[in-house]
Formats: sequence, C-alpha cells, structure tokens
Amino acid sequence: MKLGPENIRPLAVPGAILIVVTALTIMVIASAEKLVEGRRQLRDTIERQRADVRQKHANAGAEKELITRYLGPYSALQDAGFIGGEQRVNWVDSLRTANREAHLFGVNYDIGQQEAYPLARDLGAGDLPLKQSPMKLTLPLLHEADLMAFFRSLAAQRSGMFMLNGCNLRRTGVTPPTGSQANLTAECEVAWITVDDTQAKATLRP
Amino acid sequence: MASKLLVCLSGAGVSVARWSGRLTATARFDNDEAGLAGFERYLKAGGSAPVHLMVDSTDEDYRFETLPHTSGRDRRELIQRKLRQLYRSTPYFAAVPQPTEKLQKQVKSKRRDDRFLFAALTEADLLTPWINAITARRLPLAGIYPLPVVTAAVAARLKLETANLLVISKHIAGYRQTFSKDGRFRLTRLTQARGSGERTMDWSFADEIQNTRLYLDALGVTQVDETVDVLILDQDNSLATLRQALESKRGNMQCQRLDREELVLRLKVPDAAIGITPDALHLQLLGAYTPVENLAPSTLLEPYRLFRTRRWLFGATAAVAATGGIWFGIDLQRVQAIEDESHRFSVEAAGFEAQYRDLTRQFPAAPANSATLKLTVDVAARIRENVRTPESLFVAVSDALASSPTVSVISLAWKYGRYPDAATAFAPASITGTTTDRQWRQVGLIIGEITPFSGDYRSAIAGIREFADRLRQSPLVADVRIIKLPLEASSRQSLTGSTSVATEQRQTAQFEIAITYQPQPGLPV
Repeated sequence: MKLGPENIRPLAVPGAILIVVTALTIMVIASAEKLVEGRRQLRDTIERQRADVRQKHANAGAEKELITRYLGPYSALQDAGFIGGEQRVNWVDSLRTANREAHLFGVNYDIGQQEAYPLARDLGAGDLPLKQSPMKLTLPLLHEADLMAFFRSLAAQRSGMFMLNGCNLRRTGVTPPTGSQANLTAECEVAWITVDDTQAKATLRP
Repeated sequence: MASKLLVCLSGAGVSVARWSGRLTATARFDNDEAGLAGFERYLKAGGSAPVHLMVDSTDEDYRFETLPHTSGRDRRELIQRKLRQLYRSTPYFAAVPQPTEKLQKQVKSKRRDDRFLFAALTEADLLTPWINAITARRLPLAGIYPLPVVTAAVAARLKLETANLLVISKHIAGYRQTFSKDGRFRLTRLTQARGSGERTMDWSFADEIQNTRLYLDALGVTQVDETVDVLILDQDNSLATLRQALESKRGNMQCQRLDREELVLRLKVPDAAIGITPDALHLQLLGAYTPVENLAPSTLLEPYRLFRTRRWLFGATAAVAATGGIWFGIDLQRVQAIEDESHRFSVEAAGFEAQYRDLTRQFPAAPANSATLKLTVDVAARIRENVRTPESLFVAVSDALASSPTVSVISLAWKYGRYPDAATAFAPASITGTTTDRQWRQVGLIIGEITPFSGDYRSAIAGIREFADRLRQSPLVADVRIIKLPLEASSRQSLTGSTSVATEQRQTAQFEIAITYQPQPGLPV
C-alpha cells in the first residue's frame, strides 16, 4: 500500500489515538511502578526496623549485663571529666597543682576552641562524638626530667583525659645551669579529650 | 469475531447476508435494475463491514500451470507476465501456489518447478455494477472469490477425510460439481438447470456427474479403480432421486446426501436463510472461511487495506490500554500486598518494642544505652593505653650524649601522632592527622652542635655520625636520619666559606637529626 495523503488521512485519528494511549499507558505504568518501588522501600525500612528492634529485644539480657558491667567505669569517667562539657576550671587548677608538685617556675597555657577530635576514628570511636580542646603549654625548666614529672602530676589530678601531641625543648639559659634559674623552655601541645554526652545520647540512641 | 458482509453474485441474481459468527439479514436480489437498487438499499441500511464477494458464474477459468522455480521479484514478474498472457480481458484473476510435493517426487532428477492454480473470472461486466455499488458506499472490498473454491471448504467443515471428493450443489445459476483432491480445489463444472421435470433432471444430471468422473480419469486426476466420494448438498431437499440415480451407475462412486435438516444441524446454516436463497450454504461457508484464491485487483483492495490498518491501529490501542490497565491493576495489588506486609512489620516491631521497654524497666538506671556505655569505656581505655610522652626520646638522647661529650643539644622536638616519618612530621606544612598513613608514631628532631669547634669539619662530622649511630641502638627507634650537617658536602649544592683563623673561630658546627620511632602497636584500631 502506497502511503499518499488520501491514505494517511483516515489513519491519522487512530494513529494519534494509539500514540496518545501508548504515552498515557507508559505514564500510568511508570507512576504505578514508582509507587510500588516507593512502598517497597518503605516496607524494607520498616522490616529493617523490625529486625533491629527484634534483635534488641533478643539481646535485652546481654544489654542488661553490659549496663551492669560498664555503668561503674562510665560513671568514673564522668567523674573524671572525660564525659560531658569542657572542664577548663579543673584543667587550670590541675595545671597549678602539677606546677607546684613538679617545682616548676610556672606554666603558661593557651586553651583553644573545642573541636572534633580528628583522630577519633583511629581510636575506634565510631559514632561517639569525641572532642578535643587543644592546649598549648609553655614551661621554663631546669631539666628535661621536670617535664615528665609535670605531666605525671597532671595525669594524677584526674581532671580529664589528655593526649600529648608534641613538645619542643630548647636551651635558653646559661651553661652550666644553676639551681634557681631555668635554662630550658618546653612548649607542649596537649589535647584534652572529652565525649559530648548530649550529642552521644542523640546519635547513639538505641 | 470480525463482522463481514457476504455477497454471492451470479447471472441470476445476488444473495447477501451479514456475518458475525452466524448469518443474519439474508436477502436475495435479482440481477436487474430493481435488484441493484435493492442491493444498494441493503448496503445503505447499515454497517461498514468489509465485503467478501463470491461469484458463481460459468465465465470462469481455472488452470494448473507449472513454472520454473523462482523467488522474490523474479517470481512476481514471472507470475504477472503469465497472468497477463492468460487473462487480457478481465482484471479479476490470481495465481495461487500449489503444493508441489508429488510433482517433485515424479520429476526428482529434473529441475525444480513451482505449481500454480491460475484462476480468473472472465466476464467482468457481470461484476461491474455490483462492485460499483459497493465502492460507491465506500465499503472496503476484502476479496472476490470464485464459488467453487468456497465449496471446497465444505470437506474441512464436515471433517471429511477423503482423497477424492466431488461436491454437488444447487445454486440460482444451476447445478455445480466441484472436485477437490486431497482437500484442494481441482475442477468445477456448472450445469444450468433447464427444461424438464425434477426427476428427469436428476437422471440427466447423474449422467453429467458420470461424465465428470470419466473426465477426471481421462485427465489422470483419478484412477479408474479409485473411489470418488460424491457429496450432495441438498439444501432444498430436491435432489433425493439424484442419489438413487448415481448409485445405479458405476460402482466406484460413494454417494452421500446431506438434506436441509442435516445441513442446518452440521454446518449451522440458518434454516431461514436457506429458505431465502439457495446460496445460503455457501454464504455460511464464506463467512466461516476466507479462501486464498482472491481474484480482486490490487486497486480494489486499497480501501480494505486501509480498513485493516485502521482496525489494527484500534486493536493495538485497545491492547496497549488493556496492557496498561492490567499492569496498573497488578501494581495496585502489589502495593496493597506491600502495604499489608509493612503494616504487619510495623505491628510486630511495635510489639517487640513494647516488650523491650518492659524489659528495660528492670535494667539499672543508666545515663546512656549499653552500646554507648561500652564504647565510651573502651575508647577511654584505648586513649589511656596509647598516651605517649617524650620520655623515651629523652632517655635515648641522654644515653647517646653520655658517649658523645662533644655533642651539645640546642633543642629537642618531639611529636606523637599519625606521621609516616620524622622528616614529614617536622616539615613546615605538617599537620597532625592529615596523612593517609594511619600508623601512629613518635618522631623527634634534635638540633645540636659540636663544641668546642675549631673548624675541623671532618672530625665534627665524624662525631655527629657516631652520635647518630648511638641513637640507632635504641630498640624503639626505626630510623635515624641526619638531615643537616655543619658542612654540606653534596655536589648538588653550592658551598662557600673561609679558612681564615678569625672566621673559623666564629663558626659553629650545627647539625639536625630526625628520629622516627617504631609504629605504635595497637593503633589504629
């Protein structure tokens, strides 16, 4: 059959209807499939939630045991200032005490703004919101052993948990040293590490 | 079932009926002006169903021809050439391929040939006014068929399994004999009914049938000793004596007669239609079966092709819409099933949650959940375990200094963190934790000098190297690297200085040594 205008004209309406119906059908099917997919994803989410809560229910005994076992150490960490907000006053008090106990000439400190602890992942902290408060210390010393005595004393105060990131000792005084004048200056960088318990409760809710 | 308008045209008149699974609106018109006018009124009365036109005429021609085997365009051209040779005066002709199995067996060693039935209606004038009436109404003409090819279909409708079948039927135009071999049309003869009484006519027609039998033998279509089944379609119960007359003749013809009641019963021909026209039986056959022997010229079939295309488009539209509807319905069912499942999961989850809450009431009061408690305590333990101080560096340097009295330390730097080595750690751009190396290490940088220094670089450098070697003896140290010497002896850098006594006394022999400790065991986690 040759397709001339006289042949195309009678076919135009049914052809157009076919195109329109096909387009509508495709749209309807696509919408229906999207609806099915959406419902399926929702179903999967609810199923996962059910599995989680079922697992939680099944593990209730073990959870109780965990709470019993870890509640004490956790409370101790709270008392030690590891959990909760910054304990700047305690830290400064501890610096003073450690300075006194190590018989130093005084400690200059500079506490920076609290921030997320960048090495939290290395410590296996997962979603635990670990924070660090960087503190720069400047200590005049007679001998490098005084520095160790200072940090041992600082740790013994139990006013928080810290990591020593670095120290730089340089000779400043006269040689030979006298007993009353510092001849070394130590500049150390300490990270006071805390767990933001408000954030922890939000992110680690069961 | 698709509806059709069925027309049986003969010199005596026209029989028409509508078909929609069965014959309806059967009518008969004479072949004159009044009949044509009645036919036009019938067409006008309704419907646009395609017209299937069957012609019962003596002006017909059938011949079987064998042509060399060809295909494609060559085959079409060969057939058209042959048709033009055979039928110059009529546009109603066709060539229908025939099975060639037996022929090929006969001429196995020869070239391959194709066998065709060439059929034509040689008197076009008979059809012209009726076809004009159809085309004037813009009705699609689906085909023009000779009546005998429709008759041949009766064997299949009656499920007759016979090799040689001679069908006798009575029409407006006269008595027709149609012979089919192995279910395919082979030969037809139309004998016009004239003169004498019914009984004399039957005996006379029996002689005609006898002659046809002899003619078949003469043609070689049948063998003398072969039995030919004769089927008498007696729709007006007027051929009872014909059977008796036939049975009294040669014995190699088996005769079977279907009277009006049997035809109504077995072929579902409406009794009323038979009462209206003797062509009712063939109209019924044409309604149920469309022969391949379509003699209509291509130009006449154009409207029917358009009609079929339109019907196909509407059918496709309906199929698409139905598919969409079914799909949508199935999807809705799936959505319902998924929602039911989701609801069940929600209910179960709520149940578990409620039970869990009951259980947690027995738990000790805790500021956080068990996972948080455990994680916090574990992380705190890990921090404690991994706290480091520069003490080990101080010890290593003190031990080395004890054996190197000429070395004096100016400054000592120590770092602890994620550093690949000391050189990187003390580079100006180094920031704790930026490296992708996740090993935690202690690193140190010693800046020292050789005192006293009198300008003897050789012994100063030797002293520095000895000092570095002593540092290396510590088991915790992974690498000790001298990164700066008092005198840069490398050929890649320029070197300036003075050996004057005054200058040498002012010079110092400073050096830098970087120490990298072994990676921290246990980290990273």
